[in-house]
Amino acid sequence: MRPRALGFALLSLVVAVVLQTTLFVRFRIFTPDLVLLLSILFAITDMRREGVLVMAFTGGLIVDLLSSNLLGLRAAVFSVIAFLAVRTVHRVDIGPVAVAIWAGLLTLVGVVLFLLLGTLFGQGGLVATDLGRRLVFVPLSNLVVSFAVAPLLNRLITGRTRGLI
Amino acid sequence: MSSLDRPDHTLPTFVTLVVVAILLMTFDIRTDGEGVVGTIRGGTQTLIAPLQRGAAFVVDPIADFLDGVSDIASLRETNEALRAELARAQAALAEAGDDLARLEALEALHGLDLETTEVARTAANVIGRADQFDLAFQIDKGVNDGVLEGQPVIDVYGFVVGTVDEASPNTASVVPIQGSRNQVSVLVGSQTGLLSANPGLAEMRLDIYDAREPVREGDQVVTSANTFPPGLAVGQIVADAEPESTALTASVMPYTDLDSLRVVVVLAWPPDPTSVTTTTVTTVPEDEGEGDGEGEEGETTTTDEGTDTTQGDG
Repeated sequence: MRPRALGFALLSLVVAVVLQTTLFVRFRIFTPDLVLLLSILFAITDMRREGVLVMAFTGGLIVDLLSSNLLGLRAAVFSVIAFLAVRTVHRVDIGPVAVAIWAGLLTLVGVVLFLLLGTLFGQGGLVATDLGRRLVFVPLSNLVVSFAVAPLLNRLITGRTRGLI
Repeated sequence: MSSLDRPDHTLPTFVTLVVVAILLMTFDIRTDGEGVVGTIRGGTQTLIAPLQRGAAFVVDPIADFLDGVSDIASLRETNEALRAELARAQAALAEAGDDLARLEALEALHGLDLETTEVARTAANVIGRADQFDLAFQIDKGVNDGVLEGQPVIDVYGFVVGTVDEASPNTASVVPIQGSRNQVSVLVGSQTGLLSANPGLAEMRLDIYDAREPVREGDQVVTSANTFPPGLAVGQIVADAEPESTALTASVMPYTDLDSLRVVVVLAWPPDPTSVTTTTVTTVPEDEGEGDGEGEEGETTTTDEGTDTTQGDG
């Protein structure tokens, strides 16, 4: 991975963390999980697959460190979702709509996994807050946001757009 | 895909990362968030806090404007309701003023000189939270400002918010009572109970183990001497509840709206923590008699300030 691309990937993670912890926490319906979305969308760039996993893990770990949840909980979930993303990305490389739906579905899987793993590790009271809203609005918001973020991320990291996006 | 011509180490990398994550979770549970984990959390918050402050400076006015526009109809109704409530409060205040004057006169008459403790207060801005659903949030004051772990946090109206969970030099993390595993000792009228979070719900659960009378909808719940200074408003009873035998369970809706918190106040409580010596007294349920102490409802820590800290078994 080129240093410039790595720099942009790290920068995008930091920007996502800052936006998520300051801007998007203010909204009740539009509630994207930007860091999770980036973990998924790194797979559509020409970043190495292992790099995608490491970036997802790092993003999850940063959010874990800023939250009251168990350290490593999001890191594990985001790694799993990034793994699913790199294994399935070739199926959705047909256009922005397919990518958005794919990102939304993977986000839903991520939210469910977060709730399950969180409950297993005794974080039930913390992760189950607003369960219904979390299961509906986070995937939908990520689906919408991916239309803007996917081409931008691809351009920043790859230096070109990939496929139809 | 450009990575197809390279050796694929995806699976080993994935397994390694998941194992590391599980080890981190185990370590965090074993250390209870203290030690190295606490230091790393504090360091990360210190690094991210300036960026969050900058972003909040730009974002807050815009978000407030959007909130105001979208809530304009409900704001009018709220405004009217608040005016009515203000009128009632002013009447009650006038009444309380008379009572206070009589109390002072009686205290003077009987030569009572009750000690009052000044609690230092530190106002702090809420600068971020991990996501929309995480109840914990970061504030822009830390150890350098006198904010320490375990100190109580209230909102600008004096309602209980929670306690400081982690404190780094310039920032701190606050866990609200709705998301805390610790119980809060409270008073409803003259009855003492324990308030605990209800996973996933805004309402909290109140347990009174030596209930003598029912609690009624709208009864105010305030802190008793505990990790919080006594007498702070926490919330109100949601529905009437009768004692069953000597136990009573009720739902309490906290007053604080966590979504709209922008500024909080950290209380330096207990006033002089260095002078506090703690002794642990384990309470055993009556029906267990003199057991070995395992599996009790909670444990009570008594301080020489006359305060006590009750912790759940979670």
